[in-house]
Amino acid sequence: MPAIDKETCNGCRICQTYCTVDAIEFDNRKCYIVPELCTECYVCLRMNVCPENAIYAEELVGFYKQFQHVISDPVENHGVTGVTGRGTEEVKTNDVSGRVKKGWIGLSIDMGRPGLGVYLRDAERVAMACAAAGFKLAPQEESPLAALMPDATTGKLEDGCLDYRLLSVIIEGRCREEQAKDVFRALLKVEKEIDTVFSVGLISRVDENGNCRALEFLDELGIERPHRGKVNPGLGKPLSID
Amino acid sequence: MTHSLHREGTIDSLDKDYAVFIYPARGYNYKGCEPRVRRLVEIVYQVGPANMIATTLRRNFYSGVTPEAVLDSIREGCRVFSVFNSRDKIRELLARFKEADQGISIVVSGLIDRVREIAAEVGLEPHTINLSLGVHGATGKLPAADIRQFTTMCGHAMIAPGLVKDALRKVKTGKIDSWDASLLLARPCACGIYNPYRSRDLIEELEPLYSVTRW
Repeated sequence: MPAIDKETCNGCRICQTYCTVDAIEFDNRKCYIVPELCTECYVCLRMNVCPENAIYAEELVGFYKQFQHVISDPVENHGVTGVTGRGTEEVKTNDVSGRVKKGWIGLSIDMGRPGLGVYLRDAERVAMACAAAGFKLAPQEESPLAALMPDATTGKLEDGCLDYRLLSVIIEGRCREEQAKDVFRALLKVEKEIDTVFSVGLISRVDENGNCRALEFLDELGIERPHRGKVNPGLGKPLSID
Repeated sequence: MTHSLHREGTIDSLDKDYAVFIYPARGYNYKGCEPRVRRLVEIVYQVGPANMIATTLRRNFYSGVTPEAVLDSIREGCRVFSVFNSRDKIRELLARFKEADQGISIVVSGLIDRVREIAAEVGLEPHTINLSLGVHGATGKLPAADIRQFTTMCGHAMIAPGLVKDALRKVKTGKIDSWDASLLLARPCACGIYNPYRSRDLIEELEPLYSVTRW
């Protein structure tokens, strides 16, 4: 993990402006990193922000610490999904992979985003609420978070990881379209029980008339219709048609 | 990744900000994809992105990397992320991608109706869409909305709110101009879709509204 050498630090506080989660404190004319707040994103190290080179990396000890860094730092490549950072291929290759099929919706619930960070205990709360509402959480091959989830049918994470803070982590999975309202109701309930934020992406196939049925239940639940999105125009091959 | 999905800002500002991804699919068309990805990247260069990165190099447009170095770096499974600052460029890009027919997945991220309009104009039907349903939870803890217009341009949250405020202060006090401030903000973005043109416009719009205590 990053640390600041007190002897070398000249107290200029430049590193504080670069810290993504305000984990660098200033006291007695020196800066220091608060380990409980640091997400291991390594921006301070990678950007060489310190004019005195006082910031250095200490060894990341243990699986959870390494997981924290791999997920928080988008330069790192996740060993199982093969995708950098906390992300996955989701909609980007759905024209080929067919991960989300007609009659289903996918959700990417980006915990801690934008910019607040997330303790894994809050990610667990949201994952468990979704799973209880019938949401099928993605397996390890599709989602980095599943590495900490012994049973994807419950969403419960390993107890040892819950106090680790990540810059963000994505809860991914899918459900049948008719279950979507229950899952969204669960999300609207659990959002009041967590100490951070999450951003939601709704993934849906588009029918032959160009319509997206998922938008209908957003109206019923009073969720504002989206104005931003990603479009996969189906240029990948072999094309998934089901 | 969902890193381009939740950009924030006004409709006019977001209409100058479209991200494009070139994405080979693991287990499907990953092996041997290099020449096809390279061909698509050549097209990206010809159309003229505002920023771009190849995952094999991890250095964006503004870190001194040459187009040749990017093209040379492309290996099996390389993904390429880019951002464009006009609808016309996206239209041209999609038309040329369609014509090139390389069989690699492409995704365009932006104002959803605009992207669908453009796709229709070039004869492409959306296969799948991913819609941003906004931010939920303890939203009172978020940085101010005007700051989030900058920070959400790097979806991995590599750009700290403190850095945005520092950039605004430097412009306000005449230490750097709005373009250099935008490049300062673009540097931490490892995914190459921070749009410095939009950022420059936002700085020029917001700078008069900020007061500084330290000159």
